[in-house]
Amino acid sequence: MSEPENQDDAEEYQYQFLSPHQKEVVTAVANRIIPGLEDTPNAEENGVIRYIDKTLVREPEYPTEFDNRNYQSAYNDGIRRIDRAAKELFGSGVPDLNENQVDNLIEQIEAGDVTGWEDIPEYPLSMTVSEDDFFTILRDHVIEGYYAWPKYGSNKDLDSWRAIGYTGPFTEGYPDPDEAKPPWKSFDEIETSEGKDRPKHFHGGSPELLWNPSEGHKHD
Amino acid sequence: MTDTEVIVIGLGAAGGVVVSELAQNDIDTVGIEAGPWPGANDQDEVGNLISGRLYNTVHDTPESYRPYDAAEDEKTTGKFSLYGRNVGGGSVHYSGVMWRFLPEHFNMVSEFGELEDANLADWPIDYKDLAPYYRRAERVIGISGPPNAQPEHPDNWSYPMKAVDETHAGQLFSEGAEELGYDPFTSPQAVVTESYDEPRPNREACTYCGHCGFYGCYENVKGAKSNTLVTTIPDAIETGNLEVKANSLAKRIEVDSNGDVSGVTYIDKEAGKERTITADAVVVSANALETPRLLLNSSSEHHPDGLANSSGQVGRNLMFHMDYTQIFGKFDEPVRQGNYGTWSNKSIGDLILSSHIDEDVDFVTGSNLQMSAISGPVKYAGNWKQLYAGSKMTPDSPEWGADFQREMETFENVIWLWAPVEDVPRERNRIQPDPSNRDEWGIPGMEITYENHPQDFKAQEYVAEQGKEILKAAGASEVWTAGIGADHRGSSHLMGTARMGTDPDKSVVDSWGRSHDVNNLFIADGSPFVTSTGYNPTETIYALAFRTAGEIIDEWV
Repeated sequence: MSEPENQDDAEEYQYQFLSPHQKEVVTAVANRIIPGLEDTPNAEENGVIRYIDKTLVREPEYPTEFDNRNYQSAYNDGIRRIDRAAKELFGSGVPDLNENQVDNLIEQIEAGDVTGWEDIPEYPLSMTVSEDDFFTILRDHVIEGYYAWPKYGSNKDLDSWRAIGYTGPFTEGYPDPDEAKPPWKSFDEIETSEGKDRPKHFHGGSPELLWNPSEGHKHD
Repeated sequence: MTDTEVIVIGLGAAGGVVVSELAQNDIDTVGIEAGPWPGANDQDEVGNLISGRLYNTVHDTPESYRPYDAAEDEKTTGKFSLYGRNVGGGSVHYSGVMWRFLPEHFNMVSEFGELEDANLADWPIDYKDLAPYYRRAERVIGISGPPNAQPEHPDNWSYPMKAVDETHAGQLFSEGAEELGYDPFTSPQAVVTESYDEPRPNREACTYCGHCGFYGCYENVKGAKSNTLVTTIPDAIETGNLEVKANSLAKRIEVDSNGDVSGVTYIDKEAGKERTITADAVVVSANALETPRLLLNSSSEHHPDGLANSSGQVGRNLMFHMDYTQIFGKFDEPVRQGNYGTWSNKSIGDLILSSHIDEDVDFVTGSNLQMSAISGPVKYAGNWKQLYAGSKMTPDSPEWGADFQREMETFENVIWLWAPVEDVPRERNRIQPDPSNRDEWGIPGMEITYENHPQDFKAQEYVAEQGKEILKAAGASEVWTAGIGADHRGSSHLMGTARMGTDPDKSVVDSWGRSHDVNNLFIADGSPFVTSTGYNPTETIYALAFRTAGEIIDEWV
């Protein structure tokens, strides 16, 4: 099982999957998916590009069919197709576009109006996303990374949670019935409350297995 | 001499109960579970909702779907159903909303008559037959609920623990429902609400961390979410009479020269080897998709159309509930439905069957209507197109950009209701093995054929409309629905594919779960359900498992 890296060394993070060019394309699009508001970070500032890179190389919890590494080919192919669409529309690759042009590019991709993006299958009632539907995969990854636990390499200071008033999980939960009714405490009031701790592996590492077959039952 | 007395295939809600009852009665038991021991359980949205640690985005059975009369090449592959594949099964990630079915639910034909293009039938048991087993499930698994139990139910009982605390969103829902003349109450749940010592000592109370359905329980260490993983399975292991084989996928049930069950061949996934163990009896508790898949993949000279399938009913009458049904209301102020409390704070039972509805309606069934929980921002907005964990945003909400980000600032303002609308059984709704779509061990996957009966859509529409009215009365400034009017392709509520009955030509098992065809083969999960009812099914799966285990202990051994 992989050990998500601690945030402390995030500044010197070495990209493991995305090439410098791929990183530029993903950054340009991600920063239009979440552009940041007055006092909230954009995708890149909240560590989302790092999240995506780590996600694409992360070993799955269990050795089964679901594996984020399966999306590597979707990224390689999708980034190529986005770049080609940018050149077709604006005469240059994604990294050279301004924000309005990237917005326009995304709109054309969503509408299926540009080469390489015409035949994205209509989504069936299924829990799987087609690899061709790269924009959906990327959007999902951006949202996930923006709001993820810091252990995955993004959202280090929980700025995204603070901005939307999501106080998130605490080991101690919210056992006082008064906490389930307004007036609500603010994010910062709760975050600094005595006796409220974030889950042990909130910032990095993997939680302990509840069960270890070789040790038998750990309940008691 | 056999390797063990009984093999139980699948250690979920049902199998987890059966192994415990057998082991505590000194019966040598082997439990075969296709998945691993559950990994880390915490409140991590990415780990639980996206990577799907505990459920079927990690399961390895290929699925395909096609509507009636669609050609072979028109089928769609994908992941359509959501079930736990780990020791404890779906009971580890479930929302844990618990119900006793009504007496009418066991007698749908007697109560409502036959229905064209449906395969309605009465169950071979009545509510009173199951009531003692419901009581036992509530005590042993650990279910909390309100003092008046289910107000729509003619029986009255008390739960071993008090109901969960009321939340702000729950209060709003209740006010809205009462204004419309409904009778809201606190949802009974598999949640320990006060210190509890059944069946194991020192189970501590839930801390209302708000991350329940789709997650394991963070407090699982202490056993606050009641499931077989923290109750019956450890009890069974401690007897020394149960051997658990995790990561072991049953491939085929073996029969002897008389056609009786003699053992199970399974894939030991870690060793990459096929192994066979022998037993005097086999209990299949793999869920209502995997159970018929296994039975139909176990055809033999004695059972040419699949094991236990002389009736031709194995795999048929598949029921899902109208699991896609979602109703939302957006309020002007934060309601914080998800981040405080459990999965479901309040429900109403007033729409459970057409006969309980105060006005004339043109459908038969109905539904419980219950609050759910948007536990965090990823579930609200992320995973955009995934059905179950998919977006809960307003239909016209921007999907990206600055306006999307502003929309997120009101994510705590939404109340999400859900309704397990009763779908009627139909013979054509079925799961069949799919030899053209095999898993990595070469075992045929599953092909689902399913279309909802027209009455299902009418019931769904009606229930969804009432849900919207309740949310409006509760003060929501915007209400909307999702998943209405679509034929279901899958679900997390799997039922009906080995129905119980008294007639061996029309049913697969008797009321005890024993195969009509094969004396030493039992089925305990949602498969024996005759109808789906408008309630979450797991308490009834628990109750039937206790009853089947009792039969094996008293009559078979």
